[in-house]
Amino acid sequence: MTVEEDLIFAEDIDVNVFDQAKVPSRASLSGAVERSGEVAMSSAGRVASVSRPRVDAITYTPRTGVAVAMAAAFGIGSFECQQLERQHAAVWTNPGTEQAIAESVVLDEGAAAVEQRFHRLLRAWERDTEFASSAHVVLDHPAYRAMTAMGRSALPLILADLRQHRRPWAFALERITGENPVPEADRAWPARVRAAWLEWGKKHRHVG
Amino acid sequence: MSAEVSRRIEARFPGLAGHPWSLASEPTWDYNCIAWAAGDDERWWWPAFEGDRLVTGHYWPLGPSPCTVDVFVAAFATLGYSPCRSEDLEDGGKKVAIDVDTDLCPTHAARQLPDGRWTSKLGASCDIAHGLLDLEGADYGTVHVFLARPRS
Repeated sequence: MTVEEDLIFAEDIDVNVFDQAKVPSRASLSGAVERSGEVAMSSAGRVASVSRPRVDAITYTPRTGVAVAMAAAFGIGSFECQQLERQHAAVWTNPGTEQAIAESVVLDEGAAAVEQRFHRLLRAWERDTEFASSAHVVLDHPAYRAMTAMGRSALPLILADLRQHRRPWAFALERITGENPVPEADRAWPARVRAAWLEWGKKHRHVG
Repeated sequence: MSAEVSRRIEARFPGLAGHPWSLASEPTWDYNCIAWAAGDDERWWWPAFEGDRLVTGHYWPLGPSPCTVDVFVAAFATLGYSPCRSEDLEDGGKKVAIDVDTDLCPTHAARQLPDGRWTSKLGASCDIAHGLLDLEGADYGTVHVFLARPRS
């Protein structure tokens, strides 16, 4: 259960495809998608038919430098992705031909957009995991990973949700903050874990 | 609220439709089906290990373990349960049923009630009383093993 992807949904990204003819076919790249383990994203219902050149979702794994794009225009494929100077700006290259096929820029997100994205992910996660007991199903869900990958911008939203509900946010909070304020002896009890994180939120002025 | 929850449960577990079943609690993330089967309503039982460490917010009675039927049987053995042949009600004893998916990974556990029916906590949703096989399907797979604990 590692968090290493930065998952971005279509509404937040602007893509310019250089030459539609150079876009590889879906069939030729499906294996790469399977190896990267991102098929789960499509089964989570995020891939829809869209008019090109919009992209449904891009998952970028900084450790490997490989990104997975999901779009009607691209098929579903794995592309080499180079980060440009601007955060989240990228050039998409077909690894087979080394031709640049598109560039993408994540639009600046205001607080409202961040909140909207967070709650969209939260709804997807809740819908898919409501009846699951498995920690792996719950915490490895792409939407949970994506909320975690939002980093500090998600912190007040997670803590606000934790005040109202009892969802298992400790895993995400530990990764975002690098801290674990829950005493060792209390870590097996969700109610105590929640109380410790809410106290942490108060101390750091994230919750009232 | 309960009507909406009931509707979602029946939509997700179509085997309940047409059979007598009932809600027995409010939804909560405080405990899961494994905990509930073990008689614990304060912890989320799952072998959610990262290396040697359990993920915060989870409980497992044994050390680092993979998610297998044997590991779940061993966890219930810490409470005095051992495998048995059937779901038949035995006077004074307790029984637990463990469900698995097609890879034989545990997905769910239910505990037998004194009247022979079964009680399950459905993930982060509610406890329900139901027939043993009513939850079989896409989410929980099939009932795979029964465990019994004799009257103490």
